[in-house]
Amino acid sequence: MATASAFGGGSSLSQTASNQPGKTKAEVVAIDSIGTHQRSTEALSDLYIPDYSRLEVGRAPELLRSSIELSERAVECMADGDTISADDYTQRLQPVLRELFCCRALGDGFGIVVNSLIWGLHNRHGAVVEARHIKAIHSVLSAVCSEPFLSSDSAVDLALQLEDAGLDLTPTGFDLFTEPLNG
Amino acid sequence: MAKAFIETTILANILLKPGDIACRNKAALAKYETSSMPTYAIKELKAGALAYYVWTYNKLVVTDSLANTLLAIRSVMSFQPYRASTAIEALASAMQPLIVSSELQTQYGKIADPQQVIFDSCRLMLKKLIIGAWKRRRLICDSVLFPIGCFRESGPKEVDGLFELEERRCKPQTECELGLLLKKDPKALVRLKGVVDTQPQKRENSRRSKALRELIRNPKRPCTETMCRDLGDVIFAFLAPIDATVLTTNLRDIQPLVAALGKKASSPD
Repeated sequence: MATASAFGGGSSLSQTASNQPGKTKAEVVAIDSIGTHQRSTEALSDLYIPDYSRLEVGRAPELLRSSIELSERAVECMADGDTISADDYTQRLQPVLRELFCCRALGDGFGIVVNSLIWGLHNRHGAVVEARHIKAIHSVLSAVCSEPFLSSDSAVDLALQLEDAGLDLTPTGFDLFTEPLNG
Repeated sequence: MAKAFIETTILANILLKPGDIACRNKAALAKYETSSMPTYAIKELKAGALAYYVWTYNKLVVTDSLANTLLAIRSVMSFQPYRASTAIEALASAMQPLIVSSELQTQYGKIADPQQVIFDSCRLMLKKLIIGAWKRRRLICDSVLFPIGCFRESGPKEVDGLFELEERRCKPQTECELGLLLKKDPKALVRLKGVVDTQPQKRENSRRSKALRELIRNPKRPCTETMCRDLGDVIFAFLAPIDATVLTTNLRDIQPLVAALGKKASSPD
């Protein structure tokens, strides 16, 4: 179950980030436009440089890899019929997800997925995880690892996958917001 | 073959309510072999529950404060079970699964602060619900019936960090399309008005009765968007297929209406 990572080697994003911090891929321009066009492009890109030196960018790939490893082991254990080990790996996933939520400055898409995973697992209230749950969790984590800067729209698709697998993603206490719809 | 005809309360519960309520409603729907709903349910969802969630989300973003958002919610609620400060304490206690150790709080700074974590968890869940509800609005049943040409089914858009939900009302060029449909069966309208006039005196019932009276007495006058909106429950009773059961949480109001037309209604509980 190999997982491609946008943080790890291979992706254009990570190459760009490591080779030229803060720059996007060079734009192809006509020779006669160099001097005016290039200068303005640099100035524009300076305005939109993501800060790749931030803590969450350093820690997020590491945490995502850990979480994928744990979910992968849980899937394998479940396939072997070892439910207790599968559940234990899933339990160990929870503190990793909590720290991953501290990396949500990567974007709302990232935040939506991690928030959903945290509540999806918490709302089991200790009940042993099922194969369909852990498979969905692993699949969603793999998707985020390959595209951590995903849009909110794509993130919602992933969250809906978790719901379809039977996980309840609603934060405890969230009825404070839904109450007015009842009355 | 058991057929369900979904009313807006069920659509909103499945798409926007917390897990247990959504599950109960989905389970009730799953008992039917086929299901359908009118486009009118989507129109009501957009102008009602979804608009409320969009308002709440934007209030969170604009105030950047859970306390102020909860105060704003309470100011528009008809009942106030507890004070905003008590609500925040309850929320903080419920949100413990999100809180990281003090070491990590120091390491990550403000983003790991419990208040900020709780705020963002609520904000992101609202965002997920708004986007997800709109994505799935047509997927919870087998078919969506009675398209409304004057209703533009445009969804929420995020602009500058806030959601915009435009065109909540229809814009009929000459007359509301549903109004034209209703006028084809004046006898049914008379029966429905008879029921509405016996229902408890509330503002929505008096508006509904007025709209029905207008349709019955002046069929040549165009049915307006306001009349279409005021008709509400009557539309579901009228449009429901004769062999379907109207599935609703508002059985008290819907049941007598559908019964007047020889149809059935049921609630998930």
